Amino acid sequence: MKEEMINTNRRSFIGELSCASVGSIAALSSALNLKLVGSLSAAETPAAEDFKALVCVFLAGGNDSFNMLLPQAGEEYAEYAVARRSLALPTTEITPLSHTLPDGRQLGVNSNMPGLISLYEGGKAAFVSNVGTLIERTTVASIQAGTATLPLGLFSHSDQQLHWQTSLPETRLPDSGWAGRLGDYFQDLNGVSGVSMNMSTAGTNIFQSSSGTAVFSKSPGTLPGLANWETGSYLNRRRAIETVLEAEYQNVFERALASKTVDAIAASKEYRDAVATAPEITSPFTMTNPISAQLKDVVQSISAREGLSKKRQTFFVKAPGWDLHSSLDPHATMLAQLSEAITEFQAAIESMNLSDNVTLFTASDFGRTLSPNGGGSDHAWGGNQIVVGGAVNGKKVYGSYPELALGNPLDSGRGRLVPTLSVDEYFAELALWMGVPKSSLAMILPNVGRFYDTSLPEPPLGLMNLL
Amino acid sequence: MTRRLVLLGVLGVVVLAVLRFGPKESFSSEAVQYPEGETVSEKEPPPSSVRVIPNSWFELEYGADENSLKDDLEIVATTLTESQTMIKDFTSYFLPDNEALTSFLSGVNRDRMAWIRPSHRAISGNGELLDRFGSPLFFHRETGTRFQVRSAGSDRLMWTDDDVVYPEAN
Repeated sequence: MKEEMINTNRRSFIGELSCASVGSIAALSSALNLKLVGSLSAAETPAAEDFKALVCVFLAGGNDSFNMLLPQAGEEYAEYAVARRSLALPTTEITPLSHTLPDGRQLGVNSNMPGLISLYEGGKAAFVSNVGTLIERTTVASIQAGTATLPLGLFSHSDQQLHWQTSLPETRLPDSGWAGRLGDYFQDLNGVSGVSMNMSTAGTNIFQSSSGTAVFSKSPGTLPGLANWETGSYLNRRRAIETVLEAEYQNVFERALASKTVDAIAASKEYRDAVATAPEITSPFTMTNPISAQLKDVVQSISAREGLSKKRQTFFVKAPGWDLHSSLDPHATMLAQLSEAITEFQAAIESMNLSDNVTLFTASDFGRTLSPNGGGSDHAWGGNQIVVGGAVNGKKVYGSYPELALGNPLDSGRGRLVPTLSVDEYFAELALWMGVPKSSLAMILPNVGRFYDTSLPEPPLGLMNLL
Repeated sequence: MTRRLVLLGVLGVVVLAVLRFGPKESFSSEAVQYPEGETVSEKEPPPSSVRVIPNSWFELEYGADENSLKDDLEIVATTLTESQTMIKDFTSYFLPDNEALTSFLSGVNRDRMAWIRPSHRAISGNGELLDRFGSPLFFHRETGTRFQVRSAGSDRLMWTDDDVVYPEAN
């Protein structure tokens, strides 16, 4: 029994250690690169006194977003119903938007998302339509002619998740995500702290990683740290571990591991202390909703921003299970959960008077085929995303909402729609809002110039209030 | 003389048939129930510029009586893996579904290399690769290079309990 307990403790110790010491490998990367990034950020970082946080809710598996934002009436609904056949929602399950698109089309939102609909109508939410990974503007004709340069591993989960998180669809071996690059950029703006500005409730991820920025990862509903680290009866174990960590190692990897572990233990304590002294979160969250549970943690971390010396933060929240091939039946419940979580999150942020300072956005592997795949749908390409926050120029659908008739000019087969908006344009808007000047956008989004002329006075989409 | 010519002609047809379907082809018409309205592909044999991989596992054993359905799926998955070792930049191809993947494996790629003859009996008139019960396979692209291959099984209904997948989910 005793041995089992020791083993369990050792196992949990190693697990916690590896979680807490995320990024130790990244820390071994080129110091020269770090210095370069640091000097650039020192030169161009805006003198922002305000706080800003970006929250990514990643819908892993590929959200069938043409059953989230969809035509509600007229010929467009008829085309939708023909294309989606058994997957088509009846008009009674679609809440019409209070306005039509500029071309007169009437869109609606899946009625299982009442909270999101309220936020949208209240001007605090918007949709970004038919957005996806692109290397260049692409057409069905260029695909058929074989002349299109396509994102690598199109229609594959892991590759498209990678591309959405890095905005580098031309490589399958990226060394950083775009929030990781944001972390590099803003490192001088944030104060001295052992806790990264990039925090995740869903483990490590490429989105927030870079050579200079590690992910601070924690499990929802828990505080990071080693079990019983502060407990008196375990002090001997702690001293033994500290002795091991403080030893002089000749091997560079051993030295780095020990050093990063010490840093991670200190960061965990710093985080716990900051949360302990931060204002309590009283706004309600439905803890049985896994997205809500994660977003409550995000709110807690935002609440602790002063203790953590943060002017900028990013968060990564992950909701799995959207790869619905065999049946779309769970989709209604999943959208309802997403809407509930977003609504609770926005209410909590507003209760902290931070509505203009925090923006939540969704991302997902890809959209899905309009044609059914049995009872569900198959991997596709362009899809619709949600953006929520006080700084969002809300109550609007950005980008070009596509025709949903099969065989339309964007249909590359079975209703796989070629994106008309690149993730670079979508993320550029968010990066500009975070305070990255146009002249530095390419540091965060190296391919942005393929889709957006940064010398233009207009922003890429007009999605965010950039004043 | 006429009788000899007829005999020679019949012999020629037999030889051509053996060469076309191969001695180990056991994807017999009895074993395969093609979907209604679909016929075995009438596509032309690959142009001479297409190099058909000789004795590929697929050509030798796909649908063979002595194999199981799962063996068939393993053959397809392995053929896809093998193709990636020989075709450069596999992940840059537009391969969304069964039809595109079958076309790719039949020589529609930059290297004009084929693992499956376009005239293979298991390719439907729609250009889709069929399982031994005559239903199109489903390819689930998990990563840029890894596919899970699914057969609808003997009930020919996808996403039911008798579906067979390879490799099984982790």
